[in-house]
Amino acid sequence: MLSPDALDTFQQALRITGLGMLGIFVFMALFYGLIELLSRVLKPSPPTPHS
Amino acid sequence: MQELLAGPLSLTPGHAVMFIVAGLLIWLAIAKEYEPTLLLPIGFGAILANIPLSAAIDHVVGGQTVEGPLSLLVDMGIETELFPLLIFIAVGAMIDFTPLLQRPVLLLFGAAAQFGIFVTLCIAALAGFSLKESASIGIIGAADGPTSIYVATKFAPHLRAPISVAAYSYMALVPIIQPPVIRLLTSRRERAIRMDVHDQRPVSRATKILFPILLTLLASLLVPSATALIGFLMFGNLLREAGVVDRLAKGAQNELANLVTILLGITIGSTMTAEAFLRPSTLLILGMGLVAFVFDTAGGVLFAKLLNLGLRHKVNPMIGACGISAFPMSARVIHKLGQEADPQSILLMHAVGANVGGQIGSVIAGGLILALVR
Repeated sequence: MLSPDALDTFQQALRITGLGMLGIFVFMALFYGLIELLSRVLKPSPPTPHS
Repeated sequence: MQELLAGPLSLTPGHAVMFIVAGLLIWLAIAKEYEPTLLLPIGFGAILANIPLSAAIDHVVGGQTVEGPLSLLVDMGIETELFPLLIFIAVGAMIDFTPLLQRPVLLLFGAAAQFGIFVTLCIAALAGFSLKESASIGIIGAADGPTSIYVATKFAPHLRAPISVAAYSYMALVPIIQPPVIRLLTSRRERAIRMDVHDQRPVSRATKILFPILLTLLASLLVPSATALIGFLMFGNLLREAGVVDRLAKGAQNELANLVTILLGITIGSTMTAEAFLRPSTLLILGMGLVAFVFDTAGGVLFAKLLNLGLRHKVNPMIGACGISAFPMSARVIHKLGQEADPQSILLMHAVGANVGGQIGSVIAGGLILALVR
């Protein structure tokens, strides 16, 4: 049986788990969007033809 | 004569056990080549710290405490979080984000494979650790030594030594930890899924330069507590990609990395005194560190399988396991497993992309933990 303190800590840990995993996915989705945006706006210049 | 015997007469069974632990770390480094750059200095630092009356750490002379050189390094480099942050500059300068910029979807695996951090956080809380201690233990799952040291220094400095040893040891043991978990969660057919090697889109130099700058701004504005972690990592990467400071980039990759690794390793080792290390909590922390790596791997693989439900071109679910930050070990392990299932399968570039995504994910996870745990 968990003590009230341990139960409270566990509940906080669960809350952090939910927010943490959500936060990481939100960040990664933002970075995904950032890379997509950069790659569309800043296309590499075509290679120069060699004679 | 009394002075000469003071050292041997002060030896305790605890010191002897720590010499064995230190010897084990040095043996793993030399004989097995498991993270030798870290485990070797850590092992030797542990020997120096456990010699009775050692002048290498704080000791008493004439009734007064005198600071030893290793204790000074702990105060200057670890308590200030300087060493782990300097390592991040070196890591950033070594990482090539191109495989990730070519396939940014791999970033999502870098998120899913942080699952072990949070599972372990909950288990540690159930085991009776405080919230800050639990967060420090959970961050072993970041599979990233500097992040583990950074968070543990902020939240639970008294647990820093076992947390550091667990983080570096399990990173070295990725080739042993990941394959059984992956085999348990995937069929041979899934492991044999081939991934296209020709879908690499070109990446401009401007993108490579702007990526570390914009990512730092974005992450730091949203989670200011992550600024140092992400900022130092991305600064190192900017040195690499700028193309005009090659001398600095090479300095970060070589001199800075080597020097700080030596100091970080021996300093962490010096905190492994018998009094601090030989506690029941150390065994619990080592056990929970393993749990963290197992759930990281499982989180990545299961997320990839979930993605496959909606994808026309399936991803090899093993790529998910590369979302942990143990770079480039995890990518190599997954590439090898893929070739075992199908000798024609080439997963390396996808695996490396997910792996560097995991590096970003672990730093973000560290920043979020710092922001969420009060």
